[in-house]
Amino acid sequence: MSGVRELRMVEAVREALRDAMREDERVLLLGQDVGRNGGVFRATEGLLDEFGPQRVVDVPISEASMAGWGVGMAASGLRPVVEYQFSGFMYPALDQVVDHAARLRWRSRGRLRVPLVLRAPCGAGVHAPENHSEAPEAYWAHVPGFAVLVPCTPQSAYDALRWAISSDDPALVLEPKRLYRADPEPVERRPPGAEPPGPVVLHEGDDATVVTWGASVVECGEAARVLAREGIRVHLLALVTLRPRRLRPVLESVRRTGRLVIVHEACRTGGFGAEVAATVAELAAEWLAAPVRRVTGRDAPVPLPRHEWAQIPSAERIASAVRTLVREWPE
Amino acid sequence: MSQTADTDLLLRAWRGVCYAVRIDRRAVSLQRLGKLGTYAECGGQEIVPAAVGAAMAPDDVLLPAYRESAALALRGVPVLSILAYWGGDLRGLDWPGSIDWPWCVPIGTNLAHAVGVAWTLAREGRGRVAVACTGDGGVNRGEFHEGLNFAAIHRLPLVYVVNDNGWAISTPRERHSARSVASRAEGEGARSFVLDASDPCRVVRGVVSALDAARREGPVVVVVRTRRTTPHTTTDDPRRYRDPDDLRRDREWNIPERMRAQLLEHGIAAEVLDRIDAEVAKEVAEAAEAWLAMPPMDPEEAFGPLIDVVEDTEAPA
Repeated sequence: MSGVRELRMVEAVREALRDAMREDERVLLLGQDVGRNGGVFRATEGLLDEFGPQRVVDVPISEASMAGWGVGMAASGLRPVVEYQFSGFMYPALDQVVDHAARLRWRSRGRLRVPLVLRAPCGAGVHAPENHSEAPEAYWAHVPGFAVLVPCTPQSAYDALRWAISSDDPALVLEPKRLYRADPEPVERRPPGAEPPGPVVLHEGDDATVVTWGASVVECGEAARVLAREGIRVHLLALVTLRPRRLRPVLESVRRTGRLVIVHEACRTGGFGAEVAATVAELAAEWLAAPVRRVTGRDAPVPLPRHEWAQIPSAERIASAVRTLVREWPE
Repeated sequence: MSQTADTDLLLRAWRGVCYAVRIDRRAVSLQRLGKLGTYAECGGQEIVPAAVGAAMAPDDVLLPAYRESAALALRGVPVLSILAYWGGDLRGLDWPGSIDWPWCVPIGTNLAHAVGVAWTLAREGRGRVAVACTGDGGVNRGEFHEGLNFAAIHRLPLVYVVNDNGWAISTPRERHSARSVASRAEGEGARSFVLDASDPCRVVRGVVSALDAARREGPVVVVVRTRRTTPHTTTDDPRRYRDPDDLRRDREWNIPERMRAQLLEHGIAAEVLDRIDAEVAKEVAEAAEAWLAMPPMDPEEAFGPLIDVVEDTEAPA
C-alpha cells in the first residue's frame, strides 16, 4: 500500500480513503451518491466494490442530520467520513458541528470523543451551477474544537485526509474541485503523523511573503513566476491546515521578507485571511516594512459561471499587489 | 415477563417517579434561592423519564434532552451531578462509568446522534438499543423525520420517546403540528406506540415492548400523552398564555398518586413504596447539601478539553 505513485488530486483523495479503510475497519463513508455512483467527482469510485454497502453508504438527501448521524457513529466507536456533495450544501451541518461535533468532548469531560470527518469539494472555476462554487472555509474555521484543512496538491490532499481520519477530534477537509484533475504528481501513500499537515512551500524568495490556500496556488504560482522575471522573488506558502492555526512558518517568513500578501478566493470580509493578517500584526508587526494586503474574492456571491473568473483572484491582481508593496515600501 | 420481573420493573419505575418528584422539588427550591440556574421540571410527565430509565437495559444507550433527570438518576448518574450541571458547573457532566450521552439542549439534535449510535449498535449485533428523548415540539425538527427515515431504511435499533405534553413552551399542539406524532412517525417508516400517562404502569410496560420491537425490527416512536402541571422551565410563566381553567384542570393530574394507587392494587405494600421514596428523598437531600458545599473549580478547567492538537501561535499576553 505504501510507495509512490503519480496521482491527480481526486485520485489521491480516493487512495487516502482506501488506505484508511483498509487499515481500520471502523472507517466508513457516507454521502449522496458515494456508493454505486462512486461520487459525482468519482472520488469514491471502486470503494463500494472493495468494502461493501455497510462501509460505503449512500444516504438520503439529509444534509442537516447526516452530520449528526456521523457524530453519533463517531462517539460510539466508528470513524465516519461524511461527504457533502458540494461545500455549498454544508451549511445545514453547521448546527451539528458547532453545537455537538466540536463540543461533545468538552461537554462529556473527555468521556465521548468525536473522530468525525466531513469532506466536500469547494471553490469555483468548473462552470458549475449556482451554489456549487462556494469557498466557505471561514465559517468552519471559526469553530473552536474543529479542524479545517484545505489541500492544494495531490500529496497534501492525501495527507490531509489521512490525518483527519486518524484524528480523534472532528475535522473538515475542503477539496478544491478545480484542482481535482489538475496535473498529477508523485504521491507517497504514507501513514499520518500526530501533527496536521504544515504549509506547502511553492516558491522561494525574500522580497515578499504570499500566503494562500486551495486552488489559488495556481494563480499565486503564475504571479510568482511573472514577478521573478521582474526581479521580485516571493516566498509562496500554501496553508493546508487552517485550524488549528499553523502560522509559525508565516511569521518566520515575514521576518525575512517584511511584506505580506494574503490571497483567498472566498469573499473578503471575515475571510480567513483576516485571521492570518491579525496574527501577523499581533506577533510580527515589528518585522513588517509594509502594510498587509489581502487579495480576495469580492463580498458577493460567486457569479454564475459565465463570469465566475471575476471572483477568483487573478495572477495579475496578485502580482500587482506584491509589486505595489515592493515599490512603495522599499527596504 | 415473569411476575417477579414485572414487579421489579414497576418498582424501578416507581423509584424513577420518586426521583422525578424529589429532584424537581429540590432543584426548583435551589433555583429560587439563586443556587441553581434554569431548570426544567417534569410535573404531570414524571412517568416518561421514569419508564425510560426503568425499561432500558443497562447497556442500552440513552440520549436525553433536558427533562430526564429521573431516567439518568435511575441509570446511575449521581444526583449531585444533575444538580451541578443545572447549577452551571461543568463537573456535573463527569459521569464515570456511564454510557449515556450528556444533556442535549438544542431541541431535537440528539435525535440525529441516536441514529448514529443505533447504526453502531446494529453493526455490533448484541441487541442493544439507542433511546433518544424529545417532546411534541421537537417532532417538528428535521432530525426527527430525517432520522426515522434513514433508520427505517436500515432497520436500526432506535427508539424516540416523545413526551407529548401538548406544548412547545407557549405554542399549543394545534398550532405546532398538523398531524399526530404517531401518524408522522409512521409516515417516516417507523412503528409507533401511543401510551397515556394516566395509566403509568401501562406506560412502563409499553416502553419495554417498544424497546423489544426496536431490538428486533427497526425504529420505534413511543408517544406518551402527558399534561404539563409545571411550567416549561423555571423561566416560563404559563399564566401568560394558558387558560386559567385549563391550568387548574391539569393541576388535578397527579401521576405519582395514580402510580401509587396502581401499585397498591397490584399488591405491593405501601411500606415498600414509602421506603423507596424515603431512600430517594435522603439521596436527593444529601446531593443538594453536597452541591451547596462544592467549591468552584479552576476557571481554566471550564474551557477544556477540546482538541488534542493546539494552535501553533498564542495570542499576545
